[in-house]
Amino acid sequence: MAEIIDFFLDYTQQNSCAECIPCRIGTKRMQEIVKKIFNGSISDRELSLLYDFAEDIGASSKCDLGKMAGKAVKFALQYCKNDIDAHIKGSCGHTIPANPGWQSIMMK
Amino acid sequence: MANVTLTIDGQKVTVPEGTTILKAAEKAGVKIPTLCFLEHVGLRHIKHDVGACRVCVVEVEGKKDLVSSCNTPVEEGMVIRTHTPKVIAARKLNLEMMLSDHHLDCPTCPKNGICELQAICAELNVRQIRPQGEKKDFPIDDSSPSIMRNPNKCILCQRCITACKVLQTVDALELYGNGFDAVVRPKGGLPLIETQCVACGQCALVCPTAAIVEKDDTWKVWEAIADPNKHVVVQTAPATHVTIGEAFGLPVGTDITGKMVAALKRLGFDAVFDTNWSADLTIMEEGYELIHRIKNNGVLPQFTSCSPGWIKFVEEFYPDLIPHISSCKSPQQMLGPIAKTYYAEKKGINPENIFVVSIMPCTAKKYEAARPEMNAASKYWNNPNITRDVDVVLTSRELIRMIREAGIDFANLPDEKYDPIMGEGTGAAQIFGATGGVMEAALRTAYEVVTGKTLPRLDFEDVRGMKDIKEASVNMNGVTVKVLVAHSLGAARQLMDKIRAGELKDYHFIEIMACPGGCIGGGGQPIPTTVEERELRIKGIYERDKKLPIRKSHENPEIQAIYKEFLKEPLGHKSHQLLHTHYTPRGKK
Repeated sequence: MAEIIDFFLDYTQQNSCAECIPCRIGTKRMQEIVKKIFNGSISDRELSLLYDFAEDIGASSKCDLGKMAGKAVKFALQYCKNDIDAHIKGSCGHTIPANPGWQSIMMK
Repeated sequence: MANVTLTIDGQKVTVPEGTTILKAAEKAGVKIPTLCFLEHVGLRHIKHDVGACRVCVVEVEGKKDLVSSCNTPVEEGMVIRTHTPKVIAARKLNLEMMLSDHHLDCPTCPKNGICELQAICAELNVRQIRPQGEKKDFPIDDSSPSIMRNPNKCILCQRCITACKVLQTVDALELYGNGFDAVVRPKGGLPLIETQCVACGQCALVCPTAAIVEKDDTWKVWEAIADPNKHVVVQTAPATHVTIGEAFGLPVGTDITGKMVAALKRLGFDAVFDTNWSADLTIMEEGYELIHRIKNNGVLPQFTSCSPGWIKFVEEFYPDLIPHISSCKSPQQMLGPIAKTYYAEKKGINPENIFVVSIMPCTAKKYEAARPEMNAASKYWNNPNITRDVDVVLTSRELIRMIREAGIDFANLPDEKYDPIMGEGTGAAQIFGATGGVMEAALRTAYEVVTGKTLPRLDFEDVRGMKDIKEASVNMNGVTVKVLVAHSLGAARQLMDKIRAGELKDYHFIEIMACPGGCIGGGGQPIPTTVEERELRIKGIYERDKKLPIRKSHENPEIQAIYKEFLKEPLGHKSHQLLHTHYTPRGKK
């Protein structure tokens, strides 16, 4: 999930018209924090700031692009907390196994 | 139009349909903070409400997301809350985001103290900057002699783009790029000097931070004053007579002429002259040129040439109409060469040592003074050691800073008088500072020169005021002279398109001022310069005109003296040498 957020924030940055502050700067700041999830250097303070960002950007961006970026991060923090925590601890390999159908064919 | 009733912070308010939440709140007595919003960009009908800063967001009952109040129209039965925790948190965090990408060098910032970003952070009690991260790092663009751009201080509110594109129709700036890397830059990413920018400085007036400011030349003046070999003279533009006081707590539009002269003398200038004097000289030359054109089937209508932003505008966008422009230099550029010839001769000073400083309401004047052809005195004496006609141009804002630096208590200064030879100005020259003024001054003189009669009524009310395009006509010995006045380059463009299309042939004289309201709304004037301030300053200008003992340029004794002793006659040989110029077609190749 952390990768998906990172990817989505990349998309937002590349497509942001740069007119409003939450989308132009906010999504960049969110991405900077999200990247810290990968190497586990994120602090609790930053995690809570990320939540504040997501809330604010989702609510106050000018158009749906920024709003979606904020909301996506908010939902990820709310509903995929385990995955993110695993990332922070560095224990997350691949949470979804490779297609077992393929595996069973290949192994035979 | 139907009315809409809504509730704002518990107050019921009824407003016409289409009103924004911001305006409705104002009516309900609720103040919503704004940063990027700007009403009346130069003219009343131009508004900037892109909703970029997201500071004016409010909560609307039934809507999950916040809405920006500056550009959202009200709806029947809306229930709005303007300071819930959610709203306040969003405003603060949005400002923090803005600050996280801002070089926070406030103490050394040119806008320190008059910065709108600073003010709003104080107003909204922003006490920390939680987000940290990459900051933009663009080079400073100081290619233009008039305007300096520091994109690192830019908050991308785009007010400058509105001023440039909608008000002035010059369209030299653009918002380029996406996301965090976006930047407001001159079109095509060129240095400002290589674009079609006319240096009018309206962008600098509306910029909330110091992303666009005038180029500061005060140090050159301090050095010149301190140099014992230099005879430093200074001239003050008509529009500065009613504006400098604002910065020192005096009411907008107060006539501070005497105090300004006193301040300049205390700063150490060797002689203090009045651009009003050379404005009278301009009227003589330009008025006679008009009469000459009318009598000899010259190119009509004749355009005024006092506004350097306007001159660059014609050169860039309407090079085919250059023959319409009066060949007279602007008052600033008339005083320069006269100081280095006539004045030098009379005073027995080596013109090489004369250093001319101008106090102008204008950023484009810096550009004008730097034009290569503006070295008439050097040509006159055939001496390459004489520098350009006007050595340094300071805007009103720069003079204000110098007065502060010197610790002068401006508001309590006694009134002092200009120095003789080039210090007397008439009411006609005074009104050069307001839109329509040059025209009115020209008519006062032209009428009396052509008819030989005294003008029954001096005031031409038709050409005054903040209306975009104004017209008047005067009967002079059976010829009805028709004149047009426009201010702001957007209005000028309307007239120019008509002339290009072959219309307006029966008009004789057109006055254009690049800045809304004329020079009193110039790009170098104190900040803020809103429409209200422009109107008050215009009032101040006409009050001073009424007060002055002489109100017609040709009656100025010092003007009569220079023609008698030096220039001989308007449009004469010396006039052509020193007071007239030519223009260069520019524009896209």
